[in-house]
Amino acid sequence: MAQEYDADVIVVGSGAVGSNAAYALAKQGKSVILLEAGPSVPRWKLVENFRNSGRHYDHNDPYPNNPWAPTSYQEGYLQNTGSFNMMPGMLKLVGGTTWHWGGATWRYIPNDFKLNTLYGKGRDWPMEYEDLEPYYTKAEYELGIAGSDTEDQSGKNPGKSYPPRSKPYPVDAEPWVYSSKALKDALEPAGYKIVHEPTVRTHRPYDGRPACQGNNNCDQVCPIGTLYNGSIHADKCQRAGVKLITEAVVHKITKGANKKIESISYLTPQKEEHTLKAKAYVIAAHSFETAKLLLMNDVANSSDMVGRNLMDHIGISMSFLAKDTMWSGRGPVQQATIMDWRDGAHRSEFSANKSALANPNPSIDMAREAIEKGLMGKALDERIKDTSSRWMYVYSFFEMLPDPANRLVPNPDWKDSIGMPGIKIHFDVDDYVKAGAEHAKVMYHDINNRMGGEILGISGFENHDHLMGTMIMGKDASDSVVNHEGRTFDHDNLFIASVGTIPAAGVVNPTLTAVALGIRTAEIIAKEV
Amino acid sequence: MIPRSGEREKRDQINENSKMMFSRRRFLAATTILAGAGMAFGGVPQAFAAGADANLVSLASFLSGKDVDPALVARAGNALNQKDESFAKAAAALSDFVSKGGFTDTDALAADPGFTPELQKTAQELLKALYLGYVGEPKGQAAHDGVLFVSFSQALAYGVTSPYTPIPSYSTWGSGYWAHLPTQG
Repeated sequence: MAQEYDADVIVVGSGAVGSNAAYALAKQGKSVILLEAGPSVPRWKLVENFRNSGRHYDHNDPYPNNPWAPTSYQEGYLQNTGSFNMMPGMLKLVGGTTWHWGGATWRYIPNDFKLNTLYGKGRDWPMEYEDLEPYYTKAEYELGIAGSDTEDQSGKNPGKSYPPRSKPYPVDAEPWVYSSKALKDALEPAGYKIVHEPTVRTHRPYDGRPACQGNNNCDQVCPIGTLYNGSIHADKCQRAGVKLITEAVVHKITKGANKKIESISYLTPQKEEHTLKAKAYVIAAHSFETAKLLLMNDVANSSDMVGRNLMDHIGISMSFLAKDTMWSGRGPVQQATIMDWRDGAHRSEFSANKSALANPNPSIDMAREAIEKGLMGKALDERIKDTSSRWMYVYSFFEMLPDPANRLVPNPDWKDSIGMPGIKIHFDVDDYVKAGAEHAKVMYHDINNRMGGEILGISGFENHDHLMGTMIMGKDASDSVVNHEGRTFDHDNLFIASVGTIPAAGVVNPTLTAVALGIRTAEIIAKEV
Repeated sequence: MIPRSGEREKRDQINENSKMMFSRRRFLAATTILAGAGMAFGGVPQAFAAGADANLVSLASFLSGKDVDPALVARAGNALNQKDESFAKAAAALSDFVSKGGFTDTDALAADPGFTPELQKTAQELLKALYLGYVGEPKGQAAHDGVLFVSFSQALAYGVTSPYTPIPSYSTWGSGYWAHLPTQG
């Protein structure tokens, strides 16, 4: 008797990666079910939630935090045992965590794929830049990236566009923010290499999205739908016939014969269990949740690498008051990027870094600082105006190396309302990053001096929510979870589409790379089902 | 002396009439009753009618050096009192100190040796509620920290900077405005 399926492919997770993978499959005529643990929430409600809360500093706050699908900030859900408090801002709703992000959509450069070969550190990718380049282009056109076709994003190839690209960006680069241009003008004469950050915050209308109006709210919620998030492709999926099931928490993966996954099961908020079968399965449920799900089911883990090798772009930052007026908070939330330390021989000794100027509105923080200094009345307003007008913020990402000891596991001591475990994390910052941070601090002081500034503070290590390595990709089944296709070594019809497969972190925001990998995986699956 | 504008005097008149009906220390109750009082007087905008205790409005205006919407003061007072029920008493003490001191401005208040750390703390709490738009101590990376909402777009910090930077969530200056500094400031 022939096997009956509920769909050709089931995709778990409706974030940017899962929705793009599902859409790529649907476009090829495949029947697809897309499962999402959280609900679907219209943008206007999220914007109202934001404006009606006093907790603007908590970027998760406007979003649903359901007892069966908690966000990462739900007390107890993430428990840390290491020296670093790993607390990414994870959301659970249709569209996923890209509902709040800066929108940075970089490509890795060719050397990032050969870190071990070139610099003797970490791991190589099981593919090269050229293998992924066509999918970077597809991802950039799906997401509508605004970027420069003339700038060198490596810091090592002056005068030419780099990395190589087969098509121009779909949207040209954003007009420079005044403060970004001022930083560029102050630093470039000293040899700094400053470029536009490629962004999903399109400043021209694209694919039904309006041009950015400079609302300066990307990190909380874009009020007008300019900033891309995964819900855009979740919507496209539905128009292309994908069946989207919300509030479906996948908890069970059932193994079958011949290295195949037979079915998956999900729970509703009322704990009703539903089981679905497909020819292939793609898990794209956030790199923490995906690893947790695999570990809960003892799936894809013959290497014992699931949940291990956790890497974030752990960073530091500096705030300072420039000599001149800058008015941070006008327009895009981030843009100018310093690429001097992205690549080079130093990667054999200490971490690379990517440093950038953030551009948030500092008024509330400046007011708090002034009030706590005892200022009142006219002096208070003058201080807020003065510091807000000159405040600047530079932040850096460092290149973590994969270390199996940096890991997450399900935490049976914490349960959500449907009995699913929390997550226990052990994470330490390695010496490679610590050494890189010292070099970044030297640069910070130089930047401040060239801006005629006054340093307010340099932070300790910070989260940046780029959670790579937990389903690490490689050539060898003994030390890797997936191959270059995203296919798990243990199960021929189980694929992972996630930043969690990235084996070498580089220093750039990894979402575009994960979307490109997801589209590539989908096209491979489409040939098989 | 706490400066008073003509408009504020009109609001205070309503509040004075209402004082007979409630204790100044119960901001929440006061707001509810004042809303009714406003309707009874007729012609008074609801936002004004829902204003706070007159002394708290005057105190907020004195400490910030500007007129403050009584509705904003009421929300700040409610949140502060909800967070710490001794706030109303502390605010009354500060208000009394300011009134009796005859200070011309906050510089004079700050320089007065009688402006004790306790009074300073009360002043800062009220100013924070008005300028930051919330009451409480933020806790990062936590879903719950007990911070209470006061206002978003009316937060006085944004009042200082909104001619130069948009209040996050909506700008009305058009795409590309960010390439230049604001024309004023």
